[in-house]
Amino acid sequence: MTVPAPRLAADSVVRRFGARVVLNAAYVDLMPGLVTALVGVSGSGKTTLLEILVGRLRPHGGQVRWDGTRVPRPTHAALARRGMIYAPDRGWLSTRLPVGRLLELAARMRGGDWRAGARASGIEALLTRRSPSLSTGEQRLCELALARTCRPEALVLDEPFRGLEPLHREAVGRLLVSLAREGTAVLFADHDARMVLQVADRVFAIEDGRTRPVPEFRERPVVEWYRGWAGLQG
Amino acid sequence: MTTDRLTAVRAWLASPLFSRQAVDFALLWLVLKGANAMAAAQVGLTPLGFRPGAEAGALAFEWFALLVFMRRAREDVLLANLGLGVPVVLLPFALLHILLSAVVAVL
Repeated sequence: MTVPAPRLAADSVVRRFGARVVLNAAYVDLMPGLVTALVGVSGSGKTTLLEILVGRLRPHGGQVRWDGTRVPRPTHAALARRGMIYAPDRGWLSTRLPVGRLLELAARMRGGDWRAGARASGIEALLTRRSPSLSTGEQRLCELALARTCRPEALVLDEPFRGLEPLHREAVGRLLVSLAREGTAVLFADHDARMVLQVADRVFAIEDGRTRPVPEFRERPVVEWYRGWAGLQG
Repeated sequence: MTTDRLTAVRAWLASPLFSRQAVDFALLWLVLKGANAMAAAQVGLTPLGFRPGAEAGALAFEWFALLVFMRRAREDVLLANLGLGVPVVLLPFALLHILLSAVVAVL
């Protein structure tokens, strides 16, 4: 039986900022139908690795692969045309147009069904509002509706649970799982160990610029596991 | 340019998002044109004439400011997610700059 190639992968990634090596042969990938989590302490290089993976930052070494084939010039827009969506922690809803207009635009540009996206995210009541008038949780739900409208093959999110109240956290988690079960390859980086446990099918930890898979992440108590990857004692 | 990308560009150009970006850009053009006109008048040149060097300098500044505005409005990631890279996004504004400057020069 052959193992399918990851939808999107960053392999052997090296990135320096000045003399500091932030990523040293780091690896992360997304598999269709699964939710993958990337965990690590603040400053460990999670965002840097995601930005290289989605083509927003150039690595000093390594490569980005789509369906097992190296992408020669992996820019964000080029990867998006293959079916990738990136949701940075600062958000990606335009502040100038109501959410409904943004969904319509995405549907015209990418051919998706924006009403289905809005329905699935439960944001019908928010369609006439602009992002500055929405709570962080509502913005995340709208972003996921926008992502769904684009019919993504791969969805990469940076700290999607940060600053969310419990109800929105649960809703965002459910939407990520439902997108994955529809075939999307989902990857998110976050500090929220409980949401990682609740949502992720697989986990990569990043430490000292290197990543490693954490196959045992469900078998150890949350706190112990959290301390394990965070390098904390006791 | 692929059909997919052409479809995306057409949809963006026909959208209210582009209209608002074009208004921002036109205001930037107006400010830069005013500054260039004053500088030209001081050295005895036609204030609203089309001078390629000055136009290129103004366009570079307008592009930079537009990208800052887009980033502040979170539209850089949005447009990239919709398949439009920075060069594709900037191109229509170059045409708009040339059109506006040419019309003013002729008038």
